[in-house]
Amino acid sequence: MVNRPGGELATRPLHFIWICDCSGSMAGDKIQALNNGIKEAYPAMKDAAEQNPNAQVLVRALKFSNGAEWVIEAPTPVENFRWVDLDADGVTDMGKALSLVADQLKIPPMNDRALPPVLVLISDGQPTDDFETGLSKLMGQPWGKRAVRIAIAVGKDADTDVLMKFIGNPELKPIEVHNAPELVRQIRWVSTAVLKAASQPPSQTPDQKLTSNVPLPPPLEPISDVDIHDVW
Amino acid sequence: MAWSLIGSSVQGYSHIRSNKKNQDSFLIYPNDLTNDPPIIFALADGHGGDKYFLSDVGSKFAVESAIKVIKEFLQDPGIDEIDQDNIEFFNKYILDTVCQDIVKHWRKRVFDQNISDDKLYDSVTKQGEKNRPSESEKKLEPYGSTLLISFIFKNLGVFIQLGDGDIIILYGKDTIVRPIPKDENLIANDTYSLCLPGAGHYFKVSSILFNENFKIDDILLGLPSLIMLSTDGYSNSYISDDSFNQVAIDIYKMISENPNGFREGIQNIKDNLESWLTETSKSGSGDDITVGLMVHIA
Repeated sequence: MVNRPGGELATRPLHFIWICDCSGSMAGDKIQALNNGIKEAYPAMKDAAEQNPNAQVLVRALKFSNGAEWVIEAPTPVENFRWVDLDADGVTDMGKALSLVADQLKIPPMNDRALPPVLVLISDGQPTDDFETGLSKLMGQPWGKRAVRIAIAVGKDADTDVLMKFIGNPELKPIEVHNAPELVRQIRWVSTAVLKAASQPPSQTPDQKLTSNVPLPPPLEPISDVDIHDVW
Repeated sequence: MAWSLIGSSVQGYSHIRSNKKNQDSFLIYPNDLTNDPPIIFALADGHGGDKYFLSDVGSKFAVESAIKVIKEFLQDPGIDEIDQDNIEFFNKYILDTVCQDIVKHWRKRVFDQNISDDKLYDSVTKQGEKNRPSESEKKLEPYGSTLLISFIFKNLGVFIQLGDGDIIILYGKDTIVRPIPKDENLIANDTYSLCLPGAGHYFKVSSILFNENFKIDDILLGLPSLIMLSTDGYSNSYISDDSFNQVAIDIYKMISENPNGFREGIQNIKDNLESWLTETSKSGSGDDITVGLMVHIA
């Protein structure tokens, strides 16, 4: 056979970003469940990524408390991803976190052949900085607007209005979790079912009426038989 | 000025794994090895996905509608009078007439289909009650498709695009020109579609008079060597625009430098194109890939 024409081939990058609230109120079993959840979901996440060899899943993570910083800054191929346990202390600078994500979703460093990125925001409280500016920076980027934005509201004090604004679609609600097993379970769902949906999106018309940029699987039902003492 | 037309379409690697059919289509007029203008190449990319469950049929209707409408348009004696002074007016005329007629014809083909209401209702409920589309949108949506067309009449090349995909022209051995620039709104999986309300407004048209004195930015380009149309599964398989543009450069090189002559070179491309596209989808985007090549025979 004659050599194939054209330059280097490549699968399409799928950027998956954990955006984690590490404020003081997350200290204790909430941050422990977040750390455990991401670590325990990792093998299933890797399996989900392997099921679509035409998407290259690249994982990153950032934390926010007093300011925001990348914990895993480089887009890391899922097979090389290693979670670094997070500690919780300080305030809730969520706006700064979204600004950092917005900087990374500019073109460049992003390119126009990527799959829609997945942004997962996990928070138990209210922003203490200028959330609106951070959100508007994120939504000002074409890839920010087209990202699959998932929010996990941890405990009864989570600001669901703010998380709804982050999601930006009235038909998609934040995932509410009130105990450690539920947080672990929902992190696993996002790492697998949402990842799979985002890795093979069908073409869509840019119609504002759509429920999501990518058709998402139905959310998990909450666990009903939880010990009341474990509820956040 | 004779041209050879070559086309191929392959099922995407991810579609093979998920047992989904190829939703792309292409159509050539006339379908001979070498042709004098007028010649037409149309290709279309059905959107796939649950909402667009008949988009393989929609893409077929798209290319058939394009060829039918353009063949009729080529009977218009006015096309003989296009020159550099009125080419912008001509582009607008194509947008206002030909593109609108293609949409009308495609819609008629769709409305003539008898899909069961049960099936349509399934499609709608999956989008949620609040997103309930109108009756006509509901009928058109399952057939959603893009459309790319290139036609040549005498020394006039006309390029028409609705939605994602790529049209590139090779001049000489290595100069690539995009007659229709990339639309920066169409990233991720977004695309314009024949199924959209007011689909005619989303078309883009560009015409070029092919002659030896053709210049861009004072650089003499002359006559094109090759025109390549492709669905987005092709360019999305390459790591960069340069790597993708290299496809047209390499193909023309294989044709023009074939030791057994130009025609043998074209036959070689015809024989190998499908396997190249299959390999490209497997190692690249995983999407269906359809390519149209219009090779200028010197």
